[in-house]
Amino acid sequence: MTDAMIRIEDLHKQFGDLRVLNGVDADIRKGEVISIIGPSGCGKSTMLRCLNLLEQPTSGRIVIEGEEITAPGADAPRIRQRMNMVFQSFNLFDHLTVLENLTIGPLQLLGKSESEARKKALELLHTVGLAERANHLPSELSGGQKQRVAIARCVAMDPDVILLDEPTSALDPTMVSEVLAVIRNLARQGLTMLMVTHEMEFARDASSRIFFMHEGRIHEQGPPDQVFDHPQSPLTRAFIQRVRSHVVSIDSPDVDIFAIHGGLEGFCEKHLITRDVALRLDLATEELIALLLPGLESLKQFELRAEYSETDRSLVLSVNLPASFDNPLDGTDIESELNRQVLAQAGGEIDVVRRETSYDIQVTIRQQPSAQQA
Amino acid sequence: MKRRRLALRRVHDQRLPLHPTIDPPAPGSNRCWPISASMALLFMCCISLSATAQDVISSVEQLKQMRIGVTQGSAYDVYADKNFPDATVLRFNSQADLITALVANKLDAGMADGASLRALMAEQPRVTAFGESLFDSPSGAGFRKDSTSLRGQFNKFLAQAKADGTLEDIERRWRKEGRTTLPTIAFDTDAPVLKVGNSIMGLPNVTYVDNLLVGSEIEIAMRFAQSIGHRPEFVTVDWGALIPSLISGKIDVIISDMFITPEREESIGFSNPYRQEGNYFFVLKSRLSGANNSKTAQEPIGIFASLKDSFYRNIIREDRYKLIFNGLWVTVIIALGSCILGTAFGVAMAAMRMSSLAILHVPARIFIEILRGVPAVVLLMLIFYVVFGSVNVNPVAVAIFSFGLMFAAYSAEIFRAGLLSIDRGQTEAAVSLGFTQLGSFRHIILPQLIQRILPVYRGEFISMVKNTSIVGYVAVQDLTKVGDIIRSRTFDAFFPLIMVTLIYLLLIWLLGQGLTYIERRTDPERRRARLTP
Amino acid sequence: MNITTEHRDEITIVHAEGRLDFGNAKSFQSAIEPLFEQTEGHTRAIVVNCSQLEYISSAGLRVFLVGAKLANKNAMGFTVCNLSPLVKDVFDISGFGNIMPICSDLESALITVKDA
Repeated sequence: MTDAMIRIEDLHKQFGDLRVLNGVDADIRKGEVISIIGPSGCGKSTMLRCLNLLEQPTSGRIVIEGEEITAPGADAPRIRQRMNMVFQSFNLFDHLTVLENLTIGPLQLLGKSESEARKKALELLHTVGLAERANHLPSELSGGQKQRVAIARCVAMDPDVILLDEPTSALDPTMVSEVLAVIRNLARQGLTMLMVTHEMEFARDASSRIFFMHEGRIHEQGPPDQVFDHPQSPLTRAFIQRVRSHVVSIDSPDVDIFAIHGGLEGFCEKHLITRDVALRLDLATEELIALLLPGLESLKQFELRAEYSETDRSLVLSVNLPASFDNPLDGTDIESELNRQVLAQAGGEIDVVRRETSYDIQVTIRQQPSAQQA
Repeated sequence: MKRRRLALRRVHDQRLPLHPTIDPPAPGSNRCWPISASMALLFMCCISLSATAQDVISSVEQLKQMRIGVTQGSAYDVYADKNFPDATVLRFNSQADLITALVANKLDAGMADGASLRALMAEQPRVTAFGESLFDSPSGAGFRKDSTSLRGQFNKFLAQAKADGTLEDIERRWRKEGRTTLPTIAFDTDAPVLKVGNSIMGLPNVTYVDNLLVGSEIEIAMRFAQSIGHRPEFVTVDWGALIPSLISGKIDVIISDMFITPEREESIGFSNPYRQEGNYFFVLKSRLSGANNSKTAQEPIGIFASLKDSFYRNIIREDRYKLIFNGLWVTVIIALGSCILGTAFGVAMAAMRMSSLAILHVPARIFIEILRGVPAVVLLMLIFYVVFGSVNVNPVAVAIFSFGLMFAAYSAEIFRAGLLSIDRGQTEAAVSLGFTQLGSFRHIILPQLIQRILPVYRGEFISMVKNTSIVGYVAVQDLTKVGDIIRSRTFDAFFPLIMVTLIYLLLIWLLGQGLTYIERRTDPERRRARLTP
Repeated sequence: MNITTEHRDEITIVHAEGRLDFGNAKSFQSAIEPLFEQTEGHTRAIVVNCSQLEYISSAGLRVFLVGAKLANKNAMGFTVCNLSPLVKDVFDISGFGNIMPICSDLESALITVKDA
């Protein structure tokens, strides 16, 4: 009880009629790296912002190192100096150079001397790999570079806790990894960190604990292995699964093939699926759509879901159809025969799973290329 | 009141810095002043040289159908309206403007009383009286209707002056001998003040000679004040402002060769008449038959030929350059005072405007809308005559107040727009680092704000400086008014206007440079260049 | 998908680069159909070089079917070569090997087609 560095008790936050936080309880120990995941709008960012009093909680207590920061007379600016935040939109000070961004806090708020602050700043810039940009203005940096500077700016204040609010969400995928590397580094140094993120692989890799939030509460929490691979609650399971899957929704005969291919490509990249397998997924998707399009009039809409399971590294493309709908795989007309053949080629196994009022067609994409070589 | 005739009004557009009674020079931007100055010169030349083929004036009857200039609010104004239905009557704010227009052949004739006309003809040889007296008019001193005791005192003084020959002496010296200096009349500095209103009409009535206000009306006023144990304080305004100033209490008496007319007697009370004169048309000599209309008789309005002469007449003679410096100084005071007051007040208004409390942002918004929606000259007169109506305040202070308010309104909007343009994330980042709201404003927001708003702010400031040229309306002698005054003495249009233009351009350039300097210092790029070893 | 054509002694070689799917099948068809109409000894055969083709779906296959029919009609040779493993799988499973010869490289394709 007493070794908790941060204790959150029954935290509530309301914006007008909208209840965003509905009773959050948590204990965070020093040195922990906690990733907060969950669907959009469940209060993840709000909780983070309550921690450094950017938002005032409607009720509840937050105690940091024995000091209750939610007490009426609390000195918010001083408290905030001990916990710094990295923002989704970087928020570097545009009129200051990179170096000045790092030194202004220590100079003005911590009373450091000019030379002390400069020295520390240059060291930090070095650790994030941006020492030669010290005299550049933020407008001259790329997104990834800006975020790295933002992280360095945080660390320059010697905070006890670092809060990261979706630090990579606004970044080009090519720059995400450089920022994650810096964050990983910080985690290794033993800094206490709370991060809201959608980067599941990273969360799994770098965190000591995961908070899964749902509708304003911490629904489930635990070590990454548990939350990701053996979630105890169905809600958690559903979320993890959803995050691991990609949905293609067809509701009109005008199919935007480019968007579909692009989406699948992104999904595959994210899960580091090989190009060969990604192409097969593409192919299976295209053929399945072609088989289902004639039935669109009666179906109105159908959803293909691509799911990737990390544990057994399998990629499954599935679609759920009402029992009344004739299974397109059973068709015999010549027109669609080609589609069926190619679909069979792209996938490995094709299963039909029957349920009460519907059935699933599941295509498992082969991991190995076929035995036939040219 | 329906007027079928044209009214060539002074253009009340707050963007024009000068008082053009002739068409303004072709517009050129502030930045390319050499271009606008040379275009103005070119235009003036064209005007002067093009004034050739016009009808010859041969009779008074003919004139009654042509373009006649009158001073706004004068008796001539009313007279022309009533008696010359077929003429085009053009109204001017001052006699000087009228004469300038006549000389530039924008009019065919003006009207003046005999004595003034004699002085005019002496100063401006190109002008001459024409025809018989149109009508006789008595002149009297003007009083508020309820100032019965003061009026009685004046009539008593008048009776005495007529009896002992003082009045005759005054008339002789000023109107017949053409004297230009006042006799020495001493006043007790403790004596109560008598505020006397007049208007620059030229000799012999009221004018500046050697930078002193002189004339027959001045002497009459001085002697009257002495007779009742007061000392006179002269308030010189545009003719049309005399009666309003009297009624609102800014002046106690009008002594400015004002004709007693029934229309005027509806609003004010007159003393017994102290003068009776005939009134005549006057025209350009060159328009009369027999005049040699070839180019040689038509001297171009002093370009290169008489530039030296113009320089002497407009600047050196009677130490007029001192007048110019004073005018410039007044303009600078008003500009800087309004800027400082306006910026300070503008910050307050911007803060109120952006407040979430309705009690703060609603009044602020109304205030800003009003100040931005009223022309500068109207606002100035509103504040001078209505807000500060009977209060005795220094007109320069009133001008600073008025322009300060206007500048505040524009500044407030500039600050607000600038603040809104700064991303909210900047404050969030500052606050989450541990800055207080104030600290975050001072270190993070303010530097960015200044850098963003400076270009627009500088633009508004320059506009405001140009707008101050209207303070002549409320009897402040700024640079423009001084130009007017010089023009009213020399009847020279070209030189004073060009001179005033050039001084304004120089002044505005210098003031603008000051702001540009600040702009450069706050530019992050330059800061970085300075910081990098 | 990028298409470039090359002529070598009366044989038109079509280099297909990229992917051939439902989205661009029609434009691919419009591009190669005219090649089959060339008569008077200009082109006797068409070879499609798929070394840069990474993807083909059933929609693309249908275009090749059309091509094969046109080739037959105009008594022209028609073959593909340099198929990637995935593309070859797709060709194989749909039995295209029976409709048109599938060669491993360009040289053998040129020879095959000359003899046709």
